[in-house]
Amino acid sequence: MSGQQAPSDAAKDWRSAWTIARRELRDGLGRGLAGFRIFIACLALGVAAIAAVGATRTAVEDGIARDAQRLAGSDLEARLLYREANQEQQDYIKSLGRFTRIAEMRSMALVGERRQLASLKAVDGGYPLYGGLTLSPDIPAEQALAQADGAFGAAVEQAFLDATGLKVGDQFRLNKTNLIVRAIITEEADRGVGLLSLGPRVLVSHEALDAAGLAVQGALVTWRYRVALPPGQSADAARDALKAAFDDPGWRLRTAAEAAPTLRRMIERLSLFLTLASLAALLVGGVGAANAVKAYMDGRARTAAILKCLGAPAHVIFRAYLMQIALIAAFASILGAVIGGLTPMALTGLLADILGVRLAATPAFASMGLAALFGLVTAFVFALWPLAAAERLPAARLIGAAALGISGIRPARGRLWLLALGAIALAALAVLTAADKMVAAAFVAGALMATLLFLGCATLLIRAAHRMPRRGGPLFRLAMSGIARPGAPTLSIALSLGLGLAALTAVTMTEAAFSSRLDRTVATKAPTFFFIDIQPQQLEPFRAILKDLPGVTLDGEAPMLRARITHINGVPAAEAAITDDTRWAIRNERGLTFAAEPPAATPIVAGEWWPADYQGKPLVSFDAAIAKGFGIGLGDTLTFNVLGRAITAEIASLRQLDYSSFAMNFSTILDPATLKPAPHTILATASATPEMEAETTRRVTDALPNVTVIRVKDAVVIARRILDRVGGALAAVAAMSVIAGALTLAGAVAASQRRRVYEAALLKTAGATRAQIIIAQGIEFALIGLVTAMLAVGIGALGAWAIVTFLLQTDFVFSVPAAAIPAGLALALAVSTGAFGVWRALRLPAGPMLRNA
Amino acid sequence: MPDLAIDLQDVRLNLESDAGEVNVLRGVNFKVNAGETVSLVGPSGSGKSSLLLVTAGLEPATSGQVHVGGRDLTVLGEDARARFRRERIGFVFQAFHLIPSMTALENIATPLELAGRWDAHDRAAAALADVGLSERAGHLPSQLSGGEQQRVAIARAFAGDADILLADEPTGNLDGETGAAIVELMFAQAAIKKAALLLVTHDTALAARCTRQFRMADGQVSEA
Repeated sequence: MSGQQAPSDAAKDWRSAWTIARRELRDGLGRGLAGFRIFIACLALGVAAIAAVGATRTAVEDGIARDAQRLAGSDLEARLLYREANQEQQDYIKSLGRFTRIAEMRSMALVGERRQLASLKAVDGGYPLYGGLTLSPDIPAEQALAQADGAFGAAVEQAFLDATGLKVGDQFRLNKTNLIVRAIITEEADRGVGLLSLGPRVLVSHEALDAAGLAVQGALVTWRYRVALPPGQSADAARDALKAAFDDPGWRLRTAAEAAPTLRRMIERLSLFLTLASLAALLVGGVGAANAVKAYMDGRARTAAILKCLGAPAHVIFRAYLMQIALIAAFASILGAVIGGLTPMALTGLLADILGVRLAATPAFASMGLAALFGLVTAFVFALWPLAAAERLPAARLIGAAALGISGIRPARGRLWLLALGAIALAALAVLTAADKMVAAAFVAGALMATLLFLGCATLLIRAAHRMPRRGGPLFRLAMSGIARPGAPTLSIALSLGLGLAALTAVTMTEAAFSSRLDRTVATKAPTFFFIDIQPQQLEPFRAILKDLPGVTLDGEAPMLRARITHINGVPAAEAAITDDTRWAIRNERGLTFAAEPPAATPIVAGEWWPADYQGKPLVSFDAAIAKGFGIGLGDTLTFNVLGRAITAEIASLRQLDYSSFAMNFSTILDPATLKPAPHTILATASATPEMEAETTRRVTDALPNVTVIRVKDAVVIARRILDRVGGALAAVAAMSVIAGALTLAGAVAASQRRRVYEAALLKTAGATRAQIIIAQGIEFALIGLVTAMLAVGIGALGAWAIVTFLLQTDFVFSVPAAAIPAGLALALAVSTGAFGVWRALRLPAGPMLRNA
Repeated sequence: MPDLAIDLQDVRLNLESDAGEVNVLRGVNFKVNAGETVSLVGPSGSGKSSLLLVTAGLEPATSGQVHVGGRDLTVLGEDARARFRRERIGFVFQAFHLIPSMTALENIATPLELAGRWDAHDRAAAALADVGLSERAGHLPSQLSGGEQQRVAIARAFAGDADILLADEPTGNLDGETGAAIVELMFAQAAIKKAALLLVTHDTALAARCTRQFRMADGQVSEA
């Protein structure tokens, strides 16, 4: 002994704590962790949701990276709008490796009397460079598209056949030429995710496109020149060399590493919101976990008091139980992380269909680790109060008051600081690991506000229940006392179940408001048709056709060109300091117009419109909201790449635009003198009575086959599909919160089961029938459900109102169906869980509860 | 022959426990006349409390005849037994068993309200006055002393028209002086209401106050 150094007091304390923890845990494990099942379920659920979102994102991103060449269709792509690359440029790209040339445009397919919008893609024999095109029947693309039997071949999407009623072997017309459907496209990896890709794909040869005579000057054609580099060659080096060889500002060069940019952005954005929604589920689960720890510590009050009597210091007891909870929380977190990590495998088929990406099967350890960390910190924050309360348990409670458990004990001030620190760490973890820190911070603030609002409102309601006149019979009285008595789980049930349902209400109501807005816009303000690609010389015949059709009015027409903003005040757009929500405006070519007169629908909010006969340096009238995001104003300059020509224009006026109106909206209008000489097409909008829609489409496309007709209704269907999918994903994650809330509810019912059985026994002794006992406890849960439903719908609607009013800047409409579902769910969950508790209580005989101890 | 308040014939009660089946009552034959006071003494675990629960219809007998207040409880369903109990039987427990979330007055009113009596609160108030606790009407059980809680329990037992009072160690949780006062009150109330009293106790002096005394051992009853 003399040779050994005695352990310090601190080390002894830790060792004692570990010894107690081990023995207590052994007891818990012996009983199958019975008291911790809800704790584990609540925590694992939230962690699984976070891990699932993270792992799915990783699987999609890894899938994109792995399939980059298939998705991009090449190692390097040069893209040009409106015009072809010249021969020298094409020869240069051809010299880099295997080459293919592609043209894409929208057009109308003619099938007898029917007209169908199609996304046309013309390819050569080199396509596809990296596979990813599968046809049914399984024939090579070249064979499917070749000219045979007096017509060119076409491969089409199934949606095209569905819309036209055609089948393989049938003919349709494309302007001046006939095509035969030779195959159905079952996979087109390089199509990408165009959020508003109107019209099903029709794949043809360049010869067919030429024969159709659609790719005329000014037509909105995207030309793509793709190359597959020899192995070992760097795509970046090839891109830089190409850029150096031809200084063409119209080029958009993209390597495979930059494949699927829209999909990447969409995944990043969606995963941010889904992660935050999952975090909400974890927080709701945290309330359930806190309840479970409280119930456990109530049961352990006697042990803790005995330990104190035997001389265990308070902090040793605290550490002992903290260690236990930490171990079980670690188990729950790892369990959740593993379940979440495996989720992408279950979603592979679904996501492959929706996103067109084959998910990678690599395990997402980083996402799983982060999710588990969230679980551990959440468990710490929510378990701390009951653990710290047990620490302060007076040993005197051992005598007579052990049944009180840890109720009514306030933790020491130091532990409250620790709790605050844990909460801050959790918030910091949420914000710092988010892609968009502002959104995450707003979420943290919103979650805090919703929690406080819930706690405040629920406390008020409980107090009101407590003060209600104690009349109305013993059943109602018993129910009210069950809700309002001190230590009743009403608050935690209302908070956990309510927060989840409030999130669900907010999602469904926001979606309903958006959807209703879409309906109203379409019904009142939106035109029926957009006509694009009208050649200037076709304008007069076009007007004449519409004038001739009864019930059809021409709403507006404007010249249109596609151009990209390349510089803002002389600074390359990509390097300019602009806000994230306006970055879309510099990403690709956007439509712009020129006009002598200001448009009536978009009021000028700053500056002045140019004189009708203005001749001078280029001037631009720009969208005020985008200008704000760019940090520019009147007198600043924007440089546009218009058909390869750089035009720098000074901002002369700013206008307020409403993009949701479906009306003709141009963010950019240049003075006519600057742009009029440039080749352009005309964009027109028209309104038609429903019965004239088909006739209008037919008359216009018969006379002007190159003109593309887009029905606003079709665009709305696509917008609604996207809305449904995003809303569905969010609602699914919000449902996780509801499940976590239901688990909390189940835990609370289980924890109060002894009280319920005892009350049932007393009521039986007093002569209550089973129906009366069921009513008494049913009223209690119906009231809890009602309070929860009211708060959930109220706070959820408030959240939706804030999102709709401030974020989406549209009118909020209180949707009764969107409110009824969560409210009904709250009532059904509360009553059914309560009924289960009562049913179990009634099955037990009264005798054991009433026998003398 | 006087009316019988309680008539048990060859009553057996077998209960399941973790260790297997336990024969709690082994053919009990036992009669209590209307208005009579009867005591039942015996060691712990002899089945005294179980006999009371069977008599109250809270524990169905495994076999035998259980006639209480002229009704055969063995043929009544659970709800019918509950209705019978609230009309005819009063119960006083050692642990009082008041509903913790209800006031003294509400605890007394509960069986009357369950029976749909319109005058429940008035009768409860009168019963509370009979046990001398009118000023405690609005107090919760946790705000009352043990003796006061037991007085509320006695008031609850007699607030209706019960003619059979079952008392299970009513003084077991009380000090000697309070216990004596409770005993006086209970016997006085039983006499006023002309109710039969079946008293389970360890206290031989208390047992001796009853008209007849029985002893219970190994699940069987014999007259002492």
